[in-house]
Amino acid sequence: MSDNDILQVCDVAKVYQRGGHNVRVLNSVSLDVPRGDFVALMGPSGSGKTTLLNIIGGLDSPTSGSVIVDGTNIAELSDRGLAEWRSSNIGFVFQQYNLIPVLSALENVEIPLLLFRMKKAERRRRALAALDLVGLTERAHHLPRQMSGGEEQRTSIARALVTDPKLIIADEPTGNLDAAAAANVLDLLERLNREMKKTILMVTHDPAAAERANRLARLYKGDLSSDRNSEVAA
Amino acid sequence: MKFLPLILKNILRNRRRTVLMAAGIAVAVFVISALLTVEAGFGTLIGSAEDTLLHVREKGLACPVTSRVFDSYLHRIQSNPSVRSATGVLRGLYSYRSKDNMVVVSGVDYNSFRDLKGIRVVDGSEQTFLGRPDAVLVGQPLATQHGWREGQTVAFEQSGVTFTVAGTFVSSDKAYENGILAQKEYLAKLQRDEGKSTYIVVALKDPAAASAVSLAIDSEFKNAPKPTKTESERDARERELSDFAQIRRMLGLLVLAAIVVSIFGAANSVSMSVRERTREVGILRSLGLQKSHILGIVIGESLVVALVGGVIGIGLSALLLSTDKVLALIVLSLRPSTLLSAVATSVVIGLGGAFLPAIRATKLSIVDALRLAD
Repeated sequence: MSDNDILQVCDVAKVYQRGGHNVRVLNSVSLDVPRGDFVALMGPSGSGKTTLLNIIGGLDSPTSGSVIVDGTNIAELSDRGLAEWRSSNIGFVFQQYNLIPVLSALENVEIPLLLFRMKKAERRRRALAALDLVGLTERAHHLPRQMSGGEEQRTSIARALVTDPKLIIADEPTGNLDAAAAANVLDLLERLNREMKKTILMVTHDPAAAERANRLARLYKGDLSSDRNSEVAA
Repeated sequence: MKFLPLILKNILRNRRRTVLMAAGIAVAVFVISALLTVEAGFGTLIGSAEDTLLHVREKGLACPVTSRVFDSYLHRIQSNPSVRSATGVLRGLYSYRSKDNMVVVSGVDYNSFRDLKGIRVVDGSEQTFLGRPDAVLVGQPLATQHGWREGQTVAFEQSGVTFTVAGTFVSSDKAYENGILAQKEYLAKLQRDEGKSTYIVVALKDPAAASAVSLAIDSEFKNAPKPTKTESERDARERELSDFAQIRRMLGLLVLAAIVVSIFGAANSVSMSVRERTREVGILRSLGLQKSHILGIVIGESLVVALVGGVIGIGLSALLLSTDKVLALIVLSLRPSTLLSAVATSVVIGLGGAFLPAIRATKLSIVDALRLAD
């Protein structure tokens, strides 16, 4: 654990109650992510990848252990505090894009900014800048159903970026895309990491996607293999 | 307000459901406005009666309209030292054009009645009224409703009675203003009620003596051919309208039922809408929206639809109820207070309908809501 770590996951365990039984999804997982790193998290289905991402993103709470993001132990935050923290510190990119279908690309990107004291014009300017960054200025006023899957995912990346979060969490961002669109999205994430120094934590099943990351961590049956020794072959 | 665009777009997602919800609320608001308008008409009628006046009627009659007391009682009542004046009123009910359209005609001794009830002729002349036996003064709301003007002959064909309009009047007492004033002698002759009144109105020198005078009058005529029942004008008016008391209670229950049914309808609609958007609630929460934001969005959607429904309902009410229609003695007049009540009702329906679905939406686990997407 070093001062340069933006994320410190310490002995996190998660046990769910299902049908009267305890199901252990994560076993004492620890992970340190330095600022500006791009970490790929791989593992088979049911290994606990999404659960770990949800806990790191403050969407779920661990049964034990702690998650510290940029010095904040998120377990200590109230429900309200956690929501506020999420809005300014975490950018989510989901496999299903998760855009609001009745809102245009621009309005979708604007949503996280509605939580900040900001004039409408400034909100619009920032949302347009984020869309420009992902190459979707022309699509700003299109609804999600009028866009391709790749464009929807790039819109969701713009939404994740727009608040300038400390950590971008991407849960299988290319899982629903064809090869060309997936490559496009991965190019974008790589560029965000390299040029904007964004810290990215990405779950993927795709080894080719994992190769874009600086580091690889593997999760198997709730146990994380030593991420430090899992350098991705360049 | 920042979330208003999202609220409005959510509302337009399932237009059929939104239209049905708004229409249901519009009907409820219209029904409530109509019922409140009728109730307000009753209230005005009772409210314009005076506690300081006494009504002397025939004792022991279930239906006050059939009461008859002799005009000879007048002199004996006036001889009571606490009585300032007394005048007899003969009532008649006449249907105009259709059986449902009843007009109340009050036969009065105009000179004594005028001051008692603050009668003021606003169109036409008292001289014409007093100069012709068949002349009548028409209350302003009734004259406006039927378009009756000075000099016009009004025929109540079913009764074979014809009156000539001498003018229109306003009065402090809506029970008279919403009807017709005729000369008592002429009306008595028409109804074969010569020498009789439906009731005698008594003005007191000292209102505090009302109970004592009532007792004295009833005692005076205890053994007369028609014993009397004396009470305040307000009590008498309430008794006169007692036949409607049960209807009024029913109206109250109907208002309540309309509100409750609308709340259930709105709750069903909002609930379906929220259930369909469970995943989106999870998305919004993951982006940092607080539970209070979700609560505000769901309640906001319901309120907007309820207010649209309310405005339509108020529009319907304004169209159908603002005609100042006289129903027997009740003027159906849409009042600002009724409109305010209608708006408040639509707000209550909107809030009531959204409350439980909104609370349920805030209690959704973000992870479970997002999992529904996969």
